[in-house]
Amino acid sequence: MIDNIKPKEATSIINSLVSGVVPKIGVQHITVGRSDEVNAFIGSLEDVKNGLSLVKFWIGDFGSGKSFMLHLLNTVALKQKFVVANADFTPDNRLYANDGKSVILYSAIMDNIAIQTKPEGGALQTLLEKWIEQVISKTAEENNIPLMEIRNDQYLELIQNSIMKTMNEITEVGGFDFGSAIVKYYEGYIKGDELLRRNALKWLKGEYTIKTEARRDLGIREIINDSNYYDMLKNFCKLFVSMGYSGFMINLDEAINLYKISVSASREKNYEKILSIYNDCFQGKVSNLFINFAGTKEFLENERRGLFSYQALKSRLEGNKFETYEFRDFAQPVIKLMPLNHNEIFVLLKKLKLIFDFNYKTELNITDEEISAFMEEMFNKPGAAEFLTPREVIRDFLNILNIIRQNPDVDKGRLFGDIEISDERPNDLILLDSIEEL
Amino acid sequence: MQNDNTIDDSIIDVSGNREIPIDFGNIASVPDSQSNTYDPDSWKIGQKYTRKLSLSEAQTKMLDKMSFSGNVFNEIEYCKVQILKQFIRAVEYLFEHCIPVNKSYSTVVDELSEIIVCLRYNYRKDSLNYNYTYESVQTEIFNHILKLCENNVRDVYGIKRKINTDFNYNHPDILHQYNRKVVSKLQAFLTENQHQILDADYKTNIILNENNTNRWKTKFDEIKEDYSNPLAFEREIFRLTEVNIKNPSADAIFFEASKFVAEHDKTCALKLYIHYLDKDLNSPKFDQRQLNKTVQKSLFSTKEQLSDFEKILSEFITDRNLDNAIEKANLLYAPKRKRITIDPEAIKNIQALDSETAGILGQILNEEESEDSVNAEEVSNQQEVTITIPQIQESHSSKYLDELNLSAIQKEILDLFEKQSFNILQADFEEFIKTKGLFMGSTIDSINESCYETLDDILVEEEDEYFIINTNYYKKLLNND
Repeated sequence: MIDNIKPKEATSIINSLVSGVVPKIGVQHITVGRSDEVNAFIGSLEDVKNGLSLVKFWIGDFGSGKSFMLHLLNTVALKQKFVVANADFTPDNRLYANDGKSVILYSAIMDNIAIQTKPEGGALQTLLEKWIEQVISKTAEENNIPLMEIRNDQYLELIQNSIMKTMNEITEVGGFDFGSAIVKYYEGYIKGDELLRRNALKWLKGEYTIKTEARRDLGIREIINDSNYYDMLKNFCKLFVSMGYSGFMINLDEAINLYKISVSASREKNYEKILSIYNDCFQGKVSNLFINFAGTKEFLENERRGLFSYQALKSRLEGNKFETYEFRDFAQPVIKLMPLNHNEIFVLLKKLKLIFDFNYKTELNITDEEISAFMEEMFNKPGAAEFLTPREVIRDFLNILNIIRQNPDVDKGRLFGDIEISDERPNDLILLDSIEEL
Repeated sequence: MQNDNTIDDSIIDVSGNREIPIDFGNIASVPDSQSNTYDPDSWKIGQKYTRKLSLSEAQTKMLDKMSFSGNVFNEIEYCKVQILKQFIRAVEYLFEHCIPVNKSYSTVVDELSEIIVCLRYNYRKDSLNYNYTYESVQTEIFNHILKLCENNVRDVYGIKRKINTDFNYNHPDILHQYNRKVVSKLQAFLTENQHQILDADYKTNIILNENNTNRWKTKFDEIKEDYSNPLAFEREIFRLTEVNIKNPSADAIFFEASKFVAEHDKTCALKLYIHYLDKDLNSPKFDQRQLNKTVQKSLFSTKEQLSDFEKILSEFITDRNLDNAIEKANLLYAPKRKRITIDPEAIKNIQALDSETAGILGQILNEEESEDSVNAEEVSNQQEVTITIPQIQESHSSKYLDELNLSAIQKEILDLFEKQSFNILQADFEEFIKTKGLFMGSTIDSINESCYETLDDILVEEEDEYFIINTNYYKKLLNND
């Protein structure tokens, strides 16, 4: 039996995998074949906790398990008291822009901020309030004011000053405006002005697009824009750490969308931004920040459009030439997700069968030979070579287990024979090379 | 010549290919053969084929006077018959459609014979010499026509080599007249009427191919041109090789067929190559010709395919089992069934590693926290802050688990939830929390953090406009004393 699996973990694993998605909980039970990667990121989280900053590139083809790894990383990071934010690159957002597309990315990050008690995102407000609570407590303590009184209007200015002072201590670029927004948030709370609070939050999320509006609503001259959003992220990182969090982890998936930017100058500017983030992190200009990029091999290695088209990045991200399939180096910024081999998939299916049995309190009669036969059937289906991913193998396996559970006399061989492999890749992945170069 | 051919009126020929006896015009022009009781003339062509070709008496007589200059081709009976039939049709055409303009001759042949005798021999008309020579010249003309017909049949049967058809009389006037009145007309006729020559039958083809080792190429070109699908192509190639059974170059047919079909159907190409090898192995000299690189590239996209085929060939050379080799070739391009081999040793290692990793992750994800996660003591940068929620020392034992370390306000909030059936409108809750001088979000979060380790999940959740608590979770927080 599997050690330490909880019933709700088993349920989550089975239900999620049948639906083809990564389970919310219990993900540690299905990390077969990814031990090295897991150890690598646990080490990385430890380093970030200790004040380092890191950038990692999770590289793998469609279905190689990038999203699974990021999800696992999330789960562990949340548990380790990291503030975590996930965002996908899309055609409408990017790292560098001058038409608002970078702020869109920033807003997506801020919307998805998660902590352990708010794992689904939307934790920014909670975090702000927690921080203000801390400042209030500290101010009350320093000024010998009872906690129940410190929130009175007469101490508003005192609190505002404390907020600004603390903010100035922990932030660098843009700290004043950043602090001002938080002050306004507090002011809104104290005065019961919901609109003021919402506007302050709106400013912090980068949702103001016109400076005059921000000035009118909040009295703040600047707004978060394409050129300063990264500084704001760093400010937030410092803020979270000052609150006692281990660090700020930002996961950016679907990096292929940067590769797909058709204007080469714009694409290059985005790669330049990646370089500056990379340099910031590895040169110690920022602490406790952990940024993960997930993308395909094409995004990394394509010499014409990928990261390797930008020489400065290529020289930093090129793999360890002594690395082999057998002897991996997970200390590199680039972690390539190798496909699971047959033995690993076998172990995973076997494990899933046990989880399935545990979840349904059953004992299905499926032998190792039958699992092996199922795999053989899957790998020999037309299209398997091109399209088969672990997601599909797992989903079909669990579907078969479900059929067997409900129909114990069913012919397993026939069930295996009915499997069909379909191409589940998004269309745009197939059409990458047809992108027009401008 | 006179046409004595009688037709049985009771038989109606609807075939359209009725044998029409040739009207040789003035019968006197063809000298009578001696009547005989026994038949010493049975070797003569006319006598020999009179029945077989349903010849009229005049046709028989004429053919009797003629002779084949024997060769490999016309000694094949079927070919000879076809030559004679074409000859009869040609002569008939001349007699019917090539009447001299001046009308003093019954046929163009008579007229030409007259011209030749006059121009070449200069004999006086009706003299013995004249009459004798006239007849022999006429026979020569018919023999020449026969040669033209033989070449015509050779042409139809794909025999590239032709017999010499130079006319005996090279006087320019004679040649001019002869070409104009006979050869040019006959050439047109023979070209147009080639279709009347029956295709060579199976036996004839075998003999023809044996004697003309490259004859298959013409038919092969036709097969290539008509290519539609590999099955039909293969069938035609086998037919072609069947009639080339005695042809020492028969293996070349398979070889060339294999080369050609490679761009259309790989499996078919492989099978034909094996057939080539089979023929080659049975020939006096084993050539083992190789398909050129281009063909090989189109046939084998992977090294594995090439080595598999080489293996099939070497096995075939050893055991000569043609069917077995063909069967294997048929499967060469079939998707290979991948065998899953599970390595028990590797499985053990993977399971050990996985167990270790799951253990590490389990430890991280399930570890008990001794301190509040957002304890200022953890802050390294000396930004020491502590959330000190006012606590009321309770003398009596709490209804909630001690290890939760719930503050008074947190307990009060949980009690409030209990009173409100574990559902509180967020707006109401905010009002309540404001009276306590607290932020709603951070307060809810602090409760969730306090209870997380016990529940391994979130206690207070947002649902639409409400905060809700799962009752089962709530029960877990209670002291059961």
